[in-house]
Amino acid sequence: MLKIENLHARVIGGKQILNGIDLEVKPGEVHAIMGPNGSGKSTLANLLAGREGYEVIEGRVTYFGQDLLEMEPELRAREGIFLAFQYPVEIVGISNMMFLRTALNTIRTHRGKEELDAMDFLALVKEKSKVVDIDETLLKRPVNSGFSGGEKKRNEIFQMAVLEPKLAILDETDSGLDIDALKVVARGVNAMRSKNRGILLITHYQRLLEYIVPDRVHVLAGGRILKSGGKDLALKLEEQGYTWVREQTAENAS
Amino acid sequence: MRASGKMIEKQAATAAPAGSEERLQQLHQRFLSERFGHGQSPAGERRAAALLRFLGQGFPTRKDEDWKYTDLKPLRNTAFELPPAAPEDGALAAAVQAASLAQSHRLVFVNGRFSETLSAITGLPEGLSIRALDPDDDRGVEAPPRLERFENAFTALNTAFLEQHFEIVVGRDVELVLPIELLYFSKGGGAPFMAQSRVRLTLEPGARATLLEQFISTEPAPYFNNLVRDVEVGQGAVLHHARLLEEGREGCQVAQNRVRVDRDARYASCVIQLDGRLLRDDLRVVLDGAGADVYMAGLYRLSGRTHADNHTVIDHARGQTTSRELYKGILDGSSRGVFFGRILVREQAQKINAQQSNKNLLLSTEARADSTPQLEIHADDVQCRHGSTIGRLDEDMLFYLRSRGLSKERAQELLTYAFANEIIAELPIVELRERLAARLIGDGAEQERLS
Repeated sequence: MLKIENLHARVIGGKQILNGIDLEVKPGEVHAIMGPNGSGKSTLANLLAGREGYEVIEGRVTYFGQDLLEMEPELRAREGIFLAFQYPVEIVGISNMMFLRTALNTIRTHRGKEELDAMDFLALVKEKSKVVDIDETLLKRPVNSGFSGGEKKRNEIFQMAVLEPKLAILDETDSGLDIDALKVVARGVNAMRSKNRGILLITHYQRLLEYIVPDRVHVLAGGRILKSGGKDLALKLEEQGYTWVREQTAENAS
Repeated sequence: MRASGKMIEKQAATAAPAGSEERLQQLHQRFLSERFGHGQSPAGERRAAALLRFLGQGFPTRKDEDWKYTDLKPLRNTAFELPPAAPEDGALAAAVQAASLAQSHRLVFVNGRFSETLSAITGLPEGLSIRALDPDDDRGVEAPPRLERFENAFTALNTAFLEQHFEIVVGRDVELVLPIELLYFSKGGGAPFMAQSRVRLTLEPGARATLLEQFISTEPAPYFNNLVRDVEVGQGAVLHHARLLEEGREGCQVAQNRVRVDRDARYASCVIQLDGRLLRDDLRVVLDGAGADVYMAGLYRLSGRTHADNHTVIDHARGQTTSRELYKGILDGSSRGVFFGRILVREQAQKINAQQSNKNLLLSTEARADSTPQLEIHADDVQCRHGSTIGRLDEDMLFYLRSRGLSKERAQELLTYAFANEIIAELPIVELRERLAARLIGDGAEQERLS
């Protein structure tokens, strides 16, 4: 569903961050991208979701055969891409429920489905809120406003559960979570695994992958995927650190 | 050079007969003879004296510090007539029906004139009195005690051309269930006109009431609503005062709101300005007893070339008084929003708390906001905080909403609504909040239910 080929990108007016990424995610697969700070993980996530401020220098990204980079962020969302933000924004003055219902109905309309009325929407919310253990009173509050770090992350997964994307990109969803919150989030993500859905987990730590076991692990450093492998690669990384990959790559290169 | 200079002068002189003294005096003569007869009466004399006071000052100019950002050209250069009588036809009745609250003690004014048939003030509850004052009664046109220092050209003009003056009194310890609603409809016949309105509202000690004022228009031609409000909130009383301005695209409104808040009383004001050519709102509140509290909220959501100027003064005349003020502007098109807020703490007013904030959101490159917070503190044991901001929509918020499928336009609409919602939430009447939400985001009722 997602095919990234030789992707080079930079921050507009800034330095180059991605230096030739190749990656393919097929339906049903869970991929983990691991890398140290500054490796380009979040840039990749933002670029895929369509955030402005980046410039693609070379390469291409296709999503179900379409040129993803040409699509507006809202069109990507309607076509089934979901980004769980590393830092979800707070929006005072709009309730979570109102926001989410607007989003859901926009996406449903795009897919040729009928809009959900308030009653059906509330029923759906009730069902999905159980998956990530999110308090319903929280959902009546303004978007992410006054939420703790963990609540914000849970809210992202909750939104994902309601919007049912085809490709979910989770940008450091594990950061700042204690172990209990991490388990809840992982349970939510695992519940979303299906043969039609691709999931891209972006993380710094191996810890998350104990709870969400990926099919493929990629190590990103210096804007390039240095190594790809099965779930064991994550364990090896945990034991030996990122320098191990760097050294190994350097050896291969020489 | 000299000759051409004179020519220009001459042209200017003939091009501006509108606000000329002579014309206004003739208009006033006609007004007096039509409304008060030819014979001398205290009412007529008082109005003639007020006209002289107005002519002595004229409309303020931008050289006047209080009018620095607001040009009164639309008033100065228009030859206003006396307000025309509007036919009270079915269309008008339907418009009033649509705009008014489902239930209220309602006074309807068409072109400034009270309409008995459109109003609903029969069977008032005990303790509520609404009446037109005798024009010869002194109290009709004089400022209440402690508010007389807020006399100016507009109050003088108001007195000079005032036909009727309304007095509303809510009796001691009376708690009104329904709001009092003043609905102003401007609907002329083409010629520019000016209408005066003056209302005195008194809450006796311990009373509780809500007052809503609405200004609506279907008038394409210029007109000018000149309002004076004298409000007394008695000891321990609570007044919610909401105002909703949807004047015509060429409609001007200047309002003088003079409010005195007594010991342990509370005054909560919420003004919402949506449309008009030129809107100027003066809100002056004197906190006149320990425990007096005021909350002033304002929203100016402007587009086109609307100019709105909110000029507020909070006078902490006594110690142990509190004030909170939040005005927000959303400016689109080539509109302009002006906010001036002075907090005055008098020497003897110790232990006061005052907070003031003005926030502006610019939606277009031609829109403009001016913000002038001002603290004038003569006491030493006070807590005061103020601040103002002018900015654009937050890019991160926009992206967040778009990443969930919302179009850029819808995302902007929602964020703008979110910005406004803090003020809309202050409106004391649910029906009004829903109507505004619907106007700003399209499905207000849903927003209310889901929030």
